[in-house]
Amino acid sequence: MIPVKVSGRYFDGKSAAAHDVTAEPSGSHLHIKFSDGSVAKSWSYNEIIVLEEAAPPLPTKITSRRDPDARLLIPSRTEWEKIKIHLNRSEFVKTLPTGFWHFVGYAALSVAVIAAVWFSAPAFLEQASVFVPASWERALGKKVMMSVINDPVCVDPAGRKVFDRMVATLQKAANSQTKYIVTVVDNPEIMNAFAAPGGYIVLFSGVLKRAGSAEEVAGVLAHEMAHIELDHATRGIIRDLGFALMIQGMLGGGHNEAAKMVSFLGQMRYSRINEMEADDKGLSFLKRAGINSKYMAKFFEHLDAEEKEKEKKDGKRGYADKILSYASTHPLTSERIQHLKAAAEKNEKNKRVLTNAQWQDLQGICIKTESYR
Amino acid sequence: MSDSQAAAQQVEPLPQEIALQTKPKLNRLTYDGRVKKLYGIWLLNFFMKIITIGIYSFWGKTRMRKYIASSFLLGGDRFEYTGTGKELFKGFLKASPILIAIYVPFIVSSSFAGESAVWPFIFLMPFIYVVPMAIFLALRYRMSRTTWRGIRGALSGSAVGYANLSIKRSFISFVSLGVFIPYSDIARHKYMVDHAYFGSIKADFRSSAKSLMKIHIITFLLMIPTLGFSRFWYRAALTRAKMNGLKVGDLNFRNNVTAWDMLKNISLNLLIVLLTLGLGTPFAINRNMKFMARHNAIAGDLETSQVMQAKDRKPSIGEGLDDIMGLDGGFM
Repeated sequence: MIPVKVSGRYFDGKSAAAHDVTAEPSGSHLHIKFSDGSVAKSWSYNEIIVLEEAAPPLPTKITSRRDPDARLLIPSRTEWEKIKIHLNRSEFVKTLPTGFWHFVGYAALSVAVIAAVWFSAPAFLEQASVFVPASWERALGKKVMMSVINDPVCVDPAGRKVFDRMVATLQKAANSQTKYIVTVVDNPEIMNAFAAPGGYIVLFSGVLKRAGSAEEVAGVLAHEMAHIELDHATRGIIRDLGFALMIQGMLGGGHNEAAKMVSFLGQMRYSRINEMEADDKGLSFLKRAGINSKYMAKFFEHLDAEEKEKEKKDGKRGYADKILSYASTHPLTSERIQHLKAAAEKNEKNKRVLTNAQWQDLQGICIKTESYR
Repeated sequence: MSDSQAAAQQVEPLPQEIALQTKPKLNRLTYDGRVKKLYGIWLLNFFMKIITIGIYSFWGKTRMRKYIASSFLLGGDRFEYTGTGKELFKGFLKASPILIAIYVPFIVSSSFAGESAVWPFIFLMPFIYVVPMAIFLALRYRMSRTTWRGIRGALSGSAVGYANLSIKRSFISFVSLGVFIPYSDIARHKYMVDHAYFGSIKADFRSSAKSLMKIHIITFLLMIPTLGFSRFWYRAALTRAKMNGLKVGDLNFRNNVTAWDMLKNISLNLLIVLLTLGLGTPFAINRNMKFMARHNAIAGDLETSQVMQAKDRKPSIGEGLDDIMGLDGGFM
């Protein structure tokens, strides 16, 4: 039988001398011979490691377990096959395949993973919020308050007394142990309220100005208290951070813009989900306090009317509205109103949360103000 | 004229013959990577990164580096990148606690800073130290994982030593209002080269910043009117000075890139990436590699067995630090 001789190039890994060699497979070994016929090395088949198989113009690259710095390069694919048949117990370095159908599989798997992360990762991430100590939440809440409140706070004693009473009523209805610190800020232009971690709530006086009744104010308060009971702020921080990290890991590197956009859209979506949750929970507090659910919807109707007035001034928005809503932290007001109205039950109670006199006192809470700092 | 006198006259070599005899052999760097193959790897990395929520990126980067390295040829033989994804991943794990320790105070203090920028500034200081350290460690790792004809590169010296030098040099550049930038650029490069090894042969750097001063001052002053483009002329001159001054044993590096070359290359690659929203990246990478090969060569007799394997052990930390900070010196 004619001995098989495969041409190759050999480096011993000790010096830069490169040698043109012939590799001759025997029964048990691969003999690497110089051009003069002398043997450079003999590698037994089970010590051979196949680093790469020929993919023209790249050659096949093999080495030995005992001599890992050495390299034998075999340029020809067909010649390599003659040696390969001996190598059943050799190690072949495996890499992920790149065939067409493999890519179809990878793409499908990617879609599945993205869907899983988008819909379920945030819920898992939020669980980590249990590790955040209450003292940190309070410190964070305080910092948030300090940076957001730029107007004086309303401290009329009669008004405050009534206000604290309303908070206590709702707190009892919520069955909550939280120590609430609710502040009324003198800024009649802002028809809004917000909750910060640690039990801090801020109500802007615009709410008191625009509300038709004390029950509507109670609705706003109940919504904010729901945010705190559900720990939305802290959970949101951890969820947003974790989500951004995951998306950055998946799409980061060359696609940073896409990663930022996806993170942003995800954060906005979960913020909207939180708002709906706060609407629902707040509503349950109201009901338990005996207040009719229509009042919460009523306040949103006022909000909606204000927004529509602004739109008239700025010009029609039309479709932009729906599209922009995906980039918004709050759901569309019209949607919230519909949702709240649908949640109305028959035979709901309709208790007053404050007497007329108390409502007057509350509305005058900003007669006396002092600086927040 | 007698016969002996005529014979004596013939011995004297002509000027052009002298030039031919002493002119060293120029070994060009070539690149034969295929765009299709790069796309395959790039696309695989894209999907696998999503599937593994980013963890695959270490293996993906390694695969890309391996292919690109083996597509470069010198003297007919290919380079090899012997790094592994596992090493990069381990480096990342080792460096993460350190990075978190310096990132978090900075981010927290800057979101709560209000008007006072004192604390954020203080927490910025560690970065100034860590960045040059990361650059050094990244280069050391990649050199030790790059071989040609089986010879490994190596980088001695220390990350701290380099960081100290780098900070000192930044300070000098700043205090001199930018005048001494060439000296700083050269000094940093010199530190790397003076500690670099190819096998057992130490690299040398023979160039001075003085020759760069003129082009530096001119392009520096022209920065505003040319919206910064004048600096391409300095960059090109600096690149040539850095490479032409590099010597390994009896081999000299040669670089002939011009500012226009650089400008055209960078602009076109940037355009390709932007217009394709990133999908054209492998194409731009391939173009860039071809560019690098075109402008770099080694002068000297490669058939030397003088260069022996270095006896150094491989460094244990992968590019952990560099990897996360997004720096990626060298190849790609």
